[in-house]
Amino acid sequence: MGYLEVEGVAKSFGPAKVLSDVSLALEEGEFVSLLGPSGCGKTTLLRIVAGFEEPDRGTVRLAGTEITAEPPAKRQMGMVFQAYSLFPNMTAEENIRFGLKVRRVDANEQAERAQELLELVGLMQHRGKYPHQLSGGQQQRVALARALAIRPLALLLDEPLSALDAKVRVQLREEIRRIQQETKVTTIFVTHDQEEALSISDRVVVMHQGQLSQVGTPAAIYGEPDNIFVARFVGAVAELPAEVVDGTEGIVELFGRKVRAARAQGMAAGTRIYFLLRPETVRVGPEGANGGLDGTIAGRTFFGALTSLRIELADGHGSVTTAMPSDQAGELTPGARVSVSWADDAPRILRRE
Amino acid sequence: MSEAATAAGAPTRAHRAGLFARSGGVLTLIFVGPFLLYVAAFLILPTLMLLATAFSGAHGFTWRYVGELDQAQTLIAFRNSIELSAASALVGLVIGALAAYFVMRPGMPRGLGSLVTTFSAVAANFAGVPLAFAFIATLGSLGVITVWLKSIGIDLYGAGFRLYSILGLVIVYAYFQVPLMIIVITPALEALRKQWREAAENLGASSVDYWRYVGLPILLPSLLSAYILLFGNAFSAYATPYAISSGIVALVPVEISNVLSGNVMLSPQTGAALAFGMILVMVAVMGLYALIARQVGRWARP
Ligand SMILES: Nc1ncnc2c1ncn2[C@@H]1O[C@H](COP(=O)(O)OP(=O)(O)O)[C@@H](O)[C@H]1O
Ligand SMILES: [Mg+2]
Repeated sequence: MGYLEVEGVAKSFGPAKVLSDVSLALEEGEFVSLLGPSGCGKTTLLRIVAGFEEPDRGTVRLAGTEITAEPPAKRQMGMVFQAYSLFPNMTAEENIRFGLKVRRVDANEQAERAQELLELVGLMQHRGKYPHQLSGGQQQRVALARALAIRPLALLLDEPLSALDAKVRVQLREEIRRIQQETKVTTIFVTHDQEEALSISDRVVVMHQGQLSQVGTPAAIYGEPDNIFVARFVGAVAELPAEVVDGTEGIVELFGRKVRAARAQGMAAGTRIYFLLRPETVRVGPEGANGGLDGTIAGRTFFGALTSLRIELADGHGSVTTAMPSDQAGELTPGARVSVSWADDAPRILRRE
Repeated sequence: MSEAATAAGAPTRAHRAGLFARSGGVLTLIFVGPFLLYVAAFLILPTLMLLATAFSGAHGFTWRYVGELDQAQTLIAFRNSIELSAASALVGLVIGALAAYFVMRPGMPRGLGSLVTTFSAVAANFAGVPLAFAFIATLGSLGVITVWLKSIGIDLYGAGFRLYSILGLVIVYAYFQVPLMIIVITPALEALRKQWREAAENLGASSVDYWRYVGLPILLPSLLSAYILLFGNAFSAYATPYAISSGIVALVPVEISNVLSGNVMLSPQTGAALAFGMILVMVAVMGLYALIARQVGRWARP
């Protein structure tokens, strides 16, 4: 049994079905991200866990106790909102002490706890500032400290970084992970940014249209997508239509030729599949190289350390994207004719309807 | 890439800023100039003339009229005016704020909000003789409500109530003070973020905790300025109390009218001195407001 459990939760707003039969269990101390496109129901699920929305069906349990009907104030969960949730009339320190104050905790203890948290988030010298005197990143640190001050049984974060600029976002997400590991608080982190989810989570939950599409470690989500939605949403991928020819040997037919694909083993001959290639598994060689697919470089994007090439396959067979260290991309300019290849065990295989 | 863009962009931006700075001066003059002129013509000039009148006698400068402000009758008028304004502003503030809050609560019928705002905009300006007669017809000694209440055994006037008393005027003033409060406080209530309430709840706060530590402190500056507005609104009201009390309740604006129209005596200087006294009261009230506002709005200053 999990520590924080959501079971069979469904929720509609009027005619709009927002969540259908969602079940999820977190271990104590686990960091789980809810990842999905905007509108897929992440916030609604988080608000049901926090108690701000009541599910139409299903239950929420925390540490073995059902809390589905408990009001938010009784749940002892710390929540961090997207932005602008600090009380503007209180200093950073007063914000952090708020949860303790309304619990009528002794003033000395409040001060001690606030000090601990100000140190934890590195804002000691800003303790006396009002929210509007703090930067966006500092405000979110205070919000995090405020949520942690009550020693929450679970920490819930709803896109806490999405209003910040790129550099602060990366810094703060690493800090959130560090703080989570120090405090060992069970955490649900909502984001629509796959890089964010993959980089800081123990497990990632990919959501799609009110359902959980896949639940797994970041490596599994990226490397072994369960379905085409996850494959497309997490990381770039080339999808080539193919068909299994020999399930025992792992041979598939791709654009009229037989290629080996280790992961097609065990599938029935004749199964229509997607042959999926992640950019980093694609190798680029001279045109006509043995066993490769021929194509023409159609686009080139420089990302600093990496350069990405888009290769238009011959005969209108679609395109493949590759990412390679920039210093190896020298001659590969748009218009150049090349061939693409990959290791036998690189392609991911998904059933195609 | 970005360096080149900055290098190319910088001079352009500087150039533009320069243009704006120059045309900004002209634009400011075009838009603010007439306003300043207006203020000078219709606020500053009349005030100066008022002062001039208040301080000039037959033989030039005199303290006489301002000195006469300490007569018993005048002091009573000032006390009545201040009490009436303070009380009716408080009534308007409390009832108006609560009304605005309940109208805005989620789950209220759609359209109720705009209906109430529209009604308020009209009612806030419905003062003067028509309002006075409306109340005389309902709560006057022979008004329909008075008579009806008497028929079911509640004798308002027997119990000492008079429409032409401070209490009576507070009730009448509520008719325009409450709507005015609804109009001025609604934007401030709308500016209370849902996240603040939810964050408070999430941290374990009750509804009372939320209002005590978050909602009211955030609203306080708006409530204070609304109070000042309502105070001034009541303080300067003239036609309504004149029609209702016809001089029974001494109020400064009514006194001014008396000395200007020659009801009691004809003395523009006394009228000007009374008006000068009203200005002093408002200056004192606003000074007090500025002091308190500095305290309660501390957190909003850069
Ligand atoms: N209170 C509400 N009333 C009506 N519709 C809502 C409400 N909250 C969310 N929705 C709808 O539910 C869907 C999911 O919303 P949300 O959970 O906020 O998605 P996400 O956080 O993944 O972007 C959206 O289509 C949104 O418009
Ligand atoms: Mg959301």
